[in-house]
Amino acid sequence: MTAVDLQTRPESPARWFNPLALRQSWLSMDKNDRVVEWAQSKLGIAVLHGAFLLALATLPVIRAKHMALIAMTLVLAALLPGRRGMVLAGMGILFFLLRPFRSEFHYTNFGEIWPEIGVLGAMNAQAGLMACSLVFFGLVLLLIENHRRKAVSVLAERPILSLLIAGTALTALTVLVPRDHGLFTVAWILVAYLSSSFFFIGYILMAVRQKGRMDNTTLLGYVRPFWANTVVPIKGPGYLAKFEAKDAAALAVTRLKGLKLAVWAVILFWTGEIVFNQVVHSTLGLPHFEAHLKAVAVGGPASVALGWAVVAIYFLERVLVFGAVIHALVAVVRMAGFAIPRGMVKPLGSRTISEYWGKYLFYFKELLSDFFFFPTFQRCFKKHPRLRIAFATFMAAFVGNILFDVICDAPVFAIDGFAATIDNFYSYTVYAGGLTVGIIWSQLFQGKVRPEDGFLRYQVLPRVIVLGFFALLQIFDDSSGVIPLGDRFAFFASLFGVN
Amino acid sequence: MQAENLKLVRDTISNILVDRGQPPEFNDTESLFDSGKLDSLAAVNLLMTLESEFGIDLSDPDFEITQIDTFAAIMDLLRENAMA
Repeated sequence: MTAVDLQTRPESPARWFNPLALRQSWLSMDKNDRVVEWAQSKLGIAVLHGAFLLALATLPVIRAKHMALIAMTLVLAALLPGRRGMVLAGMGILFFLLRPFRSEFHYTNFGEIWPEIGVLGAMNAQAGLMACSLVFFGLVLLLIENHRRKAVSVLAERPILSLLIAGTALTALTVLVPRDHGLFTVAWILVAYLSSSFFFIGYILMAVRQKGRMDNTTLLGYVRPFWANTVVPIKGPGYLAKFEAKDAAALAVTRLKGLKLAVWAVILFWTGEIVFNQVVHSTLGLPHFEAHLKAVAVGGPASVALGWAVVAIYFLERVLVFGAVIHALVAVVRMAGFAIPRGMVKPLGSRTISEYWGKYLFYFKELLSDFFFFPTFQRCFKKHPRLRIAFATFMAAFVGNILFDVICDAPVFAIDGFAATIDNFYSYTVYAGGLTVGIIWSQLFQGKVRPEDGFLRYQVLPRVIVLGFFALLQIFDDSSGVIPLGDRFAFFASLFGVN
Repeated sequence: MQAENLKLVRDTISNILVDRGQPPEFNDTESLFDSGKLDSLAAVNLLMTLESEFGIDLSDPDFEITQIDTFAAIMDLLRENAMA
């Protein structure tokens, strides 16, 4: 049989009943010219969007209201291809006007605080929220214009540090000023807005200096892009512009990639749900991680084998659920026309700690790199390469990592009190410390293994070390404060037979 | 831009790609870091070469990491630096 035979031979009907061949056709559909051409037709666009939204609707990780906004935006963008950019920006602005905060608790807090704002307090809370969002947009516009014109040079040269100082000062006000004082109300509302959009604004300001000027309306659409259901931005407008589909064929390919990823997210989520929740926990009776941790802390059975089984299953569950969530998010961005890379790429195959960290939560790692690692690397210990890398890593994986959570929770300081809020971060501090040591060791000292080192040393051992490290580290990955740090340490020790 | 400078930057990127288990070839406008092809540690190696070999001042407030995302962007950066 020659290559020519292979190319000209008609496709066998049996292929359509072969699951492996079907899988291959599905995975390569964005490279199939006929499929790409069909995906540009009106029918193709309609079918792609219908299938995509159907897939997304089966994921409980996306809330109904957000799902409605996503559906409305994607359908509008498809109906108005010439105005796609305007639709995406407009829906982002609308999203922020309606839902500017990070947490449901903050809306409740806002509802309680808003009537205390004086004359304006007579307005209902939802109208007040929209009015505040408009004022906040005005402030962001001032920041953008200042970044372009460098009118206030300190703010233009060190925007993130300036925002951080402003946020810290406002948070301090919310803690120090009595609750019934007007200053408290204004400061808390500003903190709530800033904390939910801090890094989004950071990326917008980065985009201002990049080549290819973006108009302010487009930039404002990224204070809360319509797909953002978490406080971790998928980088910013400058980054997304690099991956934007430039013509109808590229847009069709990007949408096909989006559909593939959405289906993969559905498979991951429901596999996790069935295997772990239905089989492992319900049928086999393996306790859930937090329940087991609490039980061990109060002197319950601390079998070493059971402990390791709980940790291993919890680790896999989290990888699967985070994978499904981030894939769904990236899939929406792709459907909107940006062929961005996946947010999680085969982390379980990593051979080094830093490789796993980059592959596990790619966009969070990028955020820490963009706002903490590179700015430190650019300025500190220039004559000491190893120390320079280690310190920049410390600033990202430890300082940046903790700051990210503290910034997100900044409005809570005034509500729960400073000491109680700080208490919640003890465990996360241990997590960030362990992560930092692990990544620095990995970057500077972990030896590189090669295939010629043998199956065990190349394929097995490095992965066991990496996965074991992250599985154990996750015991401390928590900033809710629900389970005290001491209980987490007790559980950690019980895994090694120490009670 | 001198040919040996072009070659040095190209070779540095190729070596980093090979070191990360990737093919050494890349085109001038291909995204190296934003695409996830190379990680931040790889960017660090490239930045240190640009600093030591071409005198790029990374602490310049106008410098953005996105300026080294493609070979073409690096060349632009080096040209601007040479003219400054």
